[in-house]
Amino acid sequence: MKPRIATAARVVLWCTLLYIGTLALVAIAAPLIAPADPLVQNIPARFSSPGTAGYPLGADDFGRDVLSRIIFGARAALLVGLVSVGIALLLGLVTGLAAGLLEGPVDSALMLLMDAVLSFPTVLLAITVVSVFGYGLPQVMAAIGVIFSPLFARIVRAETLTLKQEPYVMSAHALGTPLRRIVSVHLLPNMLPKIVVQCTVTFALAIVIEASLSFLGLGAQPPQPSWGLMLRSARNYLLDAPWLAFYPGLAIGLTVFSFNLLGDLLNELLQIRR
Amino acid sequence: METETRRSAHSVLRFENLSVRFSGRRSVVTVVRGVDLVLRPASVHALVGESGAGKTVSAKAVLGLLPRSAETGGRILYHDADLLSLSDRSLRAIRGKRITMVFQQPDKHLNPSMRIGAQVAEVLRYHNGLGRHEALLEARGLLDMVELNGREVLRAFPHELSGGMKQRVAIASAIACRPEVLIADEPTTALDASIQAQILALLDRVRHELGTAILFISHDLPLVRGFADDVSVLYAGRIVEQAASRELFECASHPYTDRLIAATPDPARRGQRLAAIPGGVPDPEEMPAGCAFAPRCPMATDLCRRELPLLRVPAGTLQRLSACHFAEDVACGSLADG
Repeated sequence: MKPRIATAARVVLWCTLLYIGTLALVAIAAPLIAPADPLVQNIPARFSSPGTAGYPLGADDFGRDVLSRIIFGARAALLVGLVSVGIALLLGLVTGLAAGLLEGPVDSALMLLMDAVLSFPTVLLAITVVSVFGYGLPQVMAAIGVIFSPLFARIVRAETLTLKQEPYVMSAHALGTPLRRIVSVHLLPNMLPKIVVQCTVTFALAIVIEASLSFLGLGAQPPQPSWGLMLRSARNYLLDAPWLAFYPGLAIGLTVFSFNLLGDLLNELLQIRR
Repeated sequence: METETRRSAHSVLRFENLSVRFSGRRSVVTVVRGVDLVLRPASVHALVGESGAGKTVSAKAVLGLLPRSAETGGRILYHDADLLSLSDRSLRAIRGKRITMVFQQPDKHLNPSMRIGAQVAEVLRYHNGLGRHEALLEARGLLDMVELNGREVLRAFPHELSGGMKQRVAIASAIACRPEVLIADEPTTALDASIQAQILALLDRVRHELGTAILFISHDLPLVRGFADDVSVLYAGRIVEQAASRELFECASHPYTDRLIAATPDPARRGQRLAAIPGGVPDPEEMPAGCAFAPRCPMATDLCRRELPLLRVPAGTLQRLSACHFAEDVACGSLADG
């Protein structure tokens, strides 16, 4: 049975996958691709406009190549996305499974905790965590991971409760399947579609938050190449050198948009498949 | 001691005064009220009753599949072990290996995201400790045994199979460990009539080839004719009649059984109305004091409404049991035409 989705949606899906794939390749091969060292300053070339020889996307206030910084910034962005989604997924899986399998008071307590985390404005909570544990990307990744874990915990719990009622899970139980096998063979694979969708959406959110925190000076620290940090330093020269804000902004926008779009399309695709 | 061993030689599974209650927030509902039943080795015992009679609940009690809100009483003996008091761990070793179950809706009892081969192999892997490859090989043999094309079906996903094929797959996983007891909970209800007959034939083969005793749960009394060795008719959580299949179909000794048999479509009486039983099963929360069937029974007297009839051997018979004050007066088919 082939999933029926419109050709247009299919094209968009491939475009987003192509973009994300390219971005991942660029991030991995950054040192090979980048035309210049993202940290090397060249004061005479300060504020070179895009198109200047050697500076295809211009140079920033320290004369660093914007293109190279964006390429290396992709590393930071994707790394933050991967690690924080990984942390959120892991925490969410553990709490969600525990809540869904044990039910009762354990469930109530865990979900209350998750709701409490969710009730804070995300960025505010991230700022609080980072202020307590220090500035920098690792702290930001950990904070984002913890903050978004309830999103996963809720899905995993809901899916566990639903799938537990599925006759085939009961059937497996009746055939003597141990709990860990039921979880790994029957529960996890069948909740995978929803988890994958949540991963892509959370990935986009994580990138936005990292950019916001770096913009506020709480995330990546100078001279590290990070899209949010580039925006931060660009804000002083918006009128004179708008390209300093435009290109990193475009990178953030496109990336977040692609991940969100991918999430939506996958959601549709996987739902049809069910 | 001697009687004990003799008894276990004659039964693989025995319900002794089994009762199941569900306690809700406000009320307690008793669904099964003191059921005694013996499943002899390699025999088929049919447990027949309307929906809500307590059939499935009794079956689930055997494998410890009841929800936590359920309270059980009495004993369910598998040889000499009381399944109701076994630990989870020892029960798991019996479940799926010695006692297995096949369910009503075959399409919902298979994991949609797993290939058939892997699902059947699953049981073999943890019960018999087979490796992945060996288990798949064995699974293929099992699928062949339930008359499927093992080589093809092994790699198929559930949605590629028909309902009948899925039920065969379910039976294949249920018999994977050559169990002593197979509990079949309405295994043919969701299937077409022609497929029903095939599945019954398959279960019959399983019984003969593997010597597996089958507890066959059904709402369809005529279906079990010719297939079951013994029949227990369940009404409102109690057994109202228990007899060898042959005897039971020859002549009922409980008005309920009699009416069930009479409600069977009969080609000889084509065009006539089917003899339906008026009324419905009493609400388990408001059980009548006397016989639960009395409100629907054409023979009911004040005695029936007042006093609960106990299961007894009706005069003039030897092997059968009936829970009717007037068991002797139930003449074959007498009520059917009335």
